[in-house]
Amino acid sequence: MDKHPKRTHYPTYDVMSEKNEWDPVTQQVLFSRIHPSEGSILTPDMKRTLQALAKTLFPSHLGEQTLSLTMVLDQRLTAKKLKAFPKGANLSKETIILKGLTFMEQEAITEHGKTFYLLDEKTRNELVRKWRGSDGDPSIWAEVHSDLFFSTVSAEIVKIIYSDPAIWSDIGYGGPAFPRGYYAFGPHQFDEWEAKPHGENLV
Amino acid sequence: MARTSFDVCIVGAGAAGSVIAAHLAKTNLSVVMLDAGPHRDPEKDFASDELEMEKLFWDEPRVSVGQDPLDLHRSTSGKGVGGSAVHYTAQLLRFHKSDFKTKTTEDIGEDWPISYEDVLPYYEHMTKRLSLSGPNRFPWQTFGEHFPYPAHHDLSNNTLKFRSGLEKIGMKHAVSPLAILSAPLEDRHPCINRGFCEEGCMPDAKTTPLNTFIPEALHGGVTLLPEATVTSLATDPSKRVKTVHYKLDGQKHEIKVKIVVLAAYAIETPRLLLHSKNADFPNGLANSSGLVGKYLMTNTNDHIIAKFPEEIRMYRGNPVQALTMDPYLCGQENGFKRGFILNSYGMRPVRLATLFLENDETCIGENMRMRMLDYNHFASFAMLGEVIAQASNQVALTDELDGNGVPIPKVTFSYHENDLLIREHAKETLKSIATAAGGEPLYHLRAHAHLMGGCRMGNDPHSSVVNSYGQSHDIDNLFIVGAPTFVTAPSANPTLTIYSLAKRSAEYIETFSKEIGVNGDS
Repeated sequence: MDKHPKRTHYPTYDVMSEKNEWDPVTQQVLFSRIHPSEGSILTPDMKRTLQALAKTLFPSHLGEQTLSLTMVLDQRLTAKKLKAFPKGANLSKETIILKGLTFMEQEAITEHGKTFYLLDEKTRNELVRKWRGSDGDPSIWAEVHSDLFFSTVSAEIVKIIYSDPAIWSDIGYGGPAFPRGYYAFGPHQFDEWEAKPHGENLV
Repeated sequence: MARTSFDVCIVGAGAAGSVIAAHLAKTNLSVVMLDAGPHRDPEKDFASDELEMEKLFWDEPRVSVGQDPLDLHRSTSGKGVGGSAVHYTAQLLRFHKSDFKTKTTEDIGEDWPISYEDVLPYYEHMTKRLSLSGPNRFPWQTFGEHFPYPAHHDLSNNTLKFRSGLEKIGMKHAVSPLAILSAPLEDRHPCINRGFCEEGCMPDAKTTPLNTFIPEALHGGVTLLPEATVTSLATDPSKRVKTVHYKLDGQKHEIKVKIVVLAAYAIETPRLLLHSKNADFPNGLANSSGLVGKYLMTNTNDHIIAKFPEEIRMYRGNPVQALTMDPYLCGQENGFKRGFILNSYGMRPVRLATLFLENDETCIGENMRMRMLDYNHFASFAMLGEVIAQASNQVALTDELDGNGVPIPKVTFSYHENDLLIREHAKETLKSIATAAGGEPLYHLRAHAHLMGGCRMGNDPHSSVVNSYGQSHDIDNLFIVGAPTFVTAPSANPTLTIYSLAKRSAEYIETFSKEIGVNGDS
């Protein structure tokens, strides 16, 4: 049962049903995202921690999101896509994320005797709330402050969530549009392959 | 590469470097152009996808600090042949006459050593060369006229709402002058409204260095070295630049040259000059003024997201389609200086969600989801604001080396009080436009775009780095072209001026090469 306070305007729209209309390069990009190859940076423990963290930060998108966040992030890390430094930092996004995941586990074990991904939902939420609003316990978060880790990892998670075709369908985004482009212009006019306007799309 | 000696070496193959290369290709000079990124084919190497096309942005480490640290990895950067012009929105405007003399007209910033009239012949040349499309009668002719291609006519709902709001509050509006084909040109087709201009144009309807100056340069015999990162420049006893060091495939190489043109944008250019210091130039090359890296500027580029009862679908069509230049100098009547322009500016989901999070850290989880479920009801209108040059905004070097052994740059940036007044006034104007169009302005998203300055031009060697042609005051065979030489950061998009000034520099370099006896025999 859908517990979300708000529902999609486009319950019957599936952007992937049009994938054969996309150019081959974009099809391949999306295929690799939906079926990511194994990365080599995140350890199995880090993946479990990241998965638990994503559920804590974005419980909202569970059941709607179809991509494996951990697999896609690992793929991006492996492809050296996270070399840049976030604003205000002198460490790479990769270093910040890897260290942060380790520090999360350290603190969870020190304080609660369990790894983060084994904690109950309430405890996870309390920990995340504490970490997001502060530098973190200096004995653990010295190299990377917890708020820097959270702003960095949240930005990466958001990018992956909104690169998920299932989420595109939920928000009614037309997605890739080459080679066909858009032709129907003017108020209330849309191309027939796009999501149908609300009234026509509701079940 | 077998050959290790050239007359001219151009560092950076973006909007400025490619124009220089295309011009010099028609002379008898031997020219090599290096770029740190790959030479991509739009059809094979681009995709209709935001995440994938992040690869067009600079991804190397940069430290960004200050009260308002800059985002140095998106629309302030480019990686690959064509540079940031590969992912620009392609709104190409001339600067205003007053942009070249803000000190004289409004007692702020500094005057350029050149006037609008000096650049005008090059603006006119580039308007044709870049096949700009635009209205028959552009309401603000000083910013552009006589566009060879007709204005785009398939306007998105986002743009229609923007223009409707402007009309209702009594501001002039027009379809933007764009370097996007509105009709066929030789083998290139007109725009199909795919919408991914900022992800690189797969249909190749957008005019960029990749389909103009780069092929022209290659046809004329310029040697292009993609994925070659220049690491330092060395001078000889006569205090001219003699050698360019670079890395390719992990190996160190060098080129002997007679003229060097740095066209590596506003961070890498000063970084390279500062890092190339030696006994003759202890503060870095071209830096007797101490101003290399200083007076770095950007443009404020905030968005208002307004919700409409009907579906807008801002993803349809090219992001920037219409504008008003009315507030360009509105500061004089409103208690501040200079001003801004306004655009309709559609965003795709990753960009919008990222800006939501950057502007409001509580926008995660259900907050994010609830906002984004209304994506199709949002319109997005944006301002592009002038930013005042300040010496304290600068590029310097850290002690930490990158993978090529070059110190990682540190960029310090804080907005000027006037920048914030422009922002605030633009925000209120954007809100009134959205409301007049029938929308509910919900979110003000702060962002910025473009980089300028860092090696400003001027007539006085004590207060500038290069002359108006980009020639170093200290080293006569060293040229700096493109945005780093800008003295002010006007609110009209900078790239038409970058292309135009590069053409002006290229003519000068050709003449200079004859003066110093460079005759194509390197």
